[in-house]
Amino acid sequence: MPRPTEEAKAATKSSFIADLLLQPSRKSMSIEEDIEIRIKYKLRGGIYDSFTREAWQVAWYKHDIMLRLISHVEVLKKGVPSSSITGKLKFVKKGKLYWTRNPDLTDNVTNRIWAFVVDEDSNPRFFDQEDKVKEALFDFERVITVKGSKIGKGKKKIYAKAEVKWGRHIYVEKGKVSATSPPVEIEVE
Amino acid sequence: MALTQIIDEREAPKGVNLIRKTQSICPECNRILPAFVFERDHKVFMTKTCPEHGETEELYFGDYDMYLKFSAYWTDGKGTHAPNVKLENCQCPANCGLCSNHLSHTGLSNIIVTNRCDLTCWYCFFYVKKGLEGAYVYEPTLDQIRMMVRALRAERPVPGNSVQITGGEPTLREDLPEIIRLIKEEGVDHIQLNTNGINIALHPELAKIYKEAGVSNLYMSFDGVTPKTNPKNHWEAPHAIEACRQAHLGVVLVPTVIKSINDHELGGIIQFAKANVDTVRAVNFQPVSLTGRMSKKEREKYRITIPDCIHRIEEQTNGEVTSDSWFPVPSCSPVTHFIEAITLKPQYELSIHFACGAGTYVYIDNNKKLVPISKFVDIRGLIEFLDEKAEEVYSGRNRWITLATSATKLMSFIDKEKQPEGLNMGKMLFDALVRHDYSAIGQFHMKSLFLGMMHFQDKYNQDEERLQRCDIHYLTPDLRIIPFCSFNVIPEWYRDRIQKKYGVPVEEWEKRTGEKLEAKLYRGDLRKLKPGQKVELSCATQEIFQKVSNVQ
Repeated sequence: MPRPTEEAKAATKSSFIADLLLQPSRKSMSIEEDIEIRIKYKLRGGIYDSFTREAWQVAWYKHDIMLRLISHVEVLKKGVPSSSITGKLKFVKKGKLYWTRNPDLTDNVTNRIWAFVVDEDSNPRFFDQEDKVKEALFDFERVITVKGSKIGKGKKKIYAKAEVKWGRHIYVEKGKVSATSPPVEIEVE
Repeated sequence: MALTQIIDEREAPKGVNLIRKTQSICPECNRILPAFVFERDHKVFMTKTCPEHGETEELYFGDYDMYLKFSAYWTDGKGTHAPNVKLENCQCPANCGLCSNHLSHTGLSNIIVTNRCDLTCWYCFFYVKKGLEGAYVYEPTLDQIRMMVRALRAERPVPGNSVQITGGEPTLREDLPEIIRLIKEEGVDHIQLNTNGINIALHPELAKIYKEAGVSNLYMSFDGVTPKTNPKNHWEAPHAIEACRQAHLGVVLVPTVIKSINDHELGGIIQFAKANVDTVRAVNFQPVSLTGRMSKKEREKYRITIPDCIHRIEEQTNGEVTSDSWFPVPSCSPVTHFIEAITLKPQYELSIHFACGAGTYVYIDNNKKLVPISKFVDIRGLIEFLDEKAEEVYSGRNRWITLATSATKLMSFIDKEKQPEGLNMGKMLFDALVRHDYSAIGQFHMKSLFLGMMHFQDKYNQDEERLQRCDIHYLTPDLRIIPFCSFNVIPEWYRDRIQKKYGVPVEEWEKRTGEKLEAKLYRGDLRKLKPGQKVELSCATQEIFQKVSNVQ
């Protein structure tokens, strides 16, 4: 892989996690019950802006054909110190570049390369619009199930931590960003 | 035929789940057409419409879920930086040879050494038929073959290193050992001989001669375990395998699978391979490519795809080789990327399209059961891990530190409790990935079978995205390197034209050599038993019966 350009370094520096939210399916529960917690965020800034169709063309020709986003997500309980409810959960998403023969997407001369996404469950997702590809890759949303006993009895404030890292590419230098969600109160009886 | 691309304004088919749009050809006139790949009733189909010849709809992949699983492994290859045909604009499937737009280097190259054959199978288009107008005997000279191999070795960044000698029936050439030695001299490591095995069955000493000349393994046609499904070499194959056993020459069995003809015997073929596992290294199933003009009804009768074969194998091995144990060929790419990252050298990469091929390893345990590798190795986890480690090195991490930390982690992908007794998969992975010592893999082969699938295309299901990624190529005397699915799917542009140009009319060949073409035809000598003679190790059915009886 060639040395990172100043643009690639700048793209990494300006990347961030936006709108990290933790949304329990309800406000109260019994200790024997399970609760579903939705966690979502958007990866934005330089990495998002640089993953363009033009960048795909350039990167593909250097055999730089896959952007892997490794996310570590954790739900914690506020306290001194805070304690983890879920442990760090790892999710991997990939944006894979390929030479498409779809006549709607390519003229086979200057614009040959397209991207598809392999999501956290290893399912491939194909889109015809660049924005949709980016949305599928950079927007994160998962529902995880947590046992009431893991949260503990009483009114508790829980929050999420997310960290996303990626490797070096033509269009973005390797990097890591993290964020913390606002806390949400939940009552366990 | 002028090469014209039609800009198809037609909307995608209604009421179906459209997966992607690609390009294909009209089966009648070879015109390039936009094509839709879509899902219906959990199967994947392709449809395309020629303005002149109408719509062609064809089964593309018989299981949508498997299509999804396989497509996640889609990985474009490095291509070849020393193409013989330089093109600015992509013109697939015209001008193949290889062009600068091709996405895979040669994984396996075919050299046709003769188009004469000792059989006359009704469905085969590969051999010269006397009496037909324009029948040519094609037999490149030793000098031509040497130059063809040099063209292969000139590929960059990865020189071609694997040759399949094919035909017709290549053993009809008396100078075959010389051809094998010549290919070896040019630096090719792996040579396989594609044969029906009949000559070797008749003359067992040939196996030793070919082995000593440099053949790595036979690639032997084997379409079923009964005379009905395998009229080609049912009686001869066991003799050929025995000859190879004596010569310590490995054999790959190659069944062409045709729905309604032999698709009920896939399990039987694997049993036969298992019974000969000391010599048979692999079974490579090839779902049939439908050549010639066929109606949709006929095509539906014979068409079978990779997932269909995989499901039949699960049924016919009583669930021993499960469908989920198969992975598409490009799932090997992370292994290549990892080794490239560690060695800093471009490596052989199997970057074909995910719909072209699949494979799995099955280990034979002490109870003679087949245990797929995925039952005791977390293949998906291992692939992800290798991808991640390669990326770490490309991102600037010291490769030796990466290698050292990877070595200990490799063991975590193996379930030692489920691993068959006597097998040390962890050591094997360590030797192969860390020490780059592949001798342990040889030992693994002695108790295991590689099961593969390779679905060559035809004009009905042809997909330019697949063609552009093909890594099985033909070497030709004009020093082109032509993808299999151009060479054989559009023979009028490639195979027939080349064989005519570099061949001689049959009559001239007969005059020149003093031989009659039909003199080498096989007359079924090994099938003629004298009255009362006991059948002993002389047909596949008998052999399976004997081996199974011995086990019990």
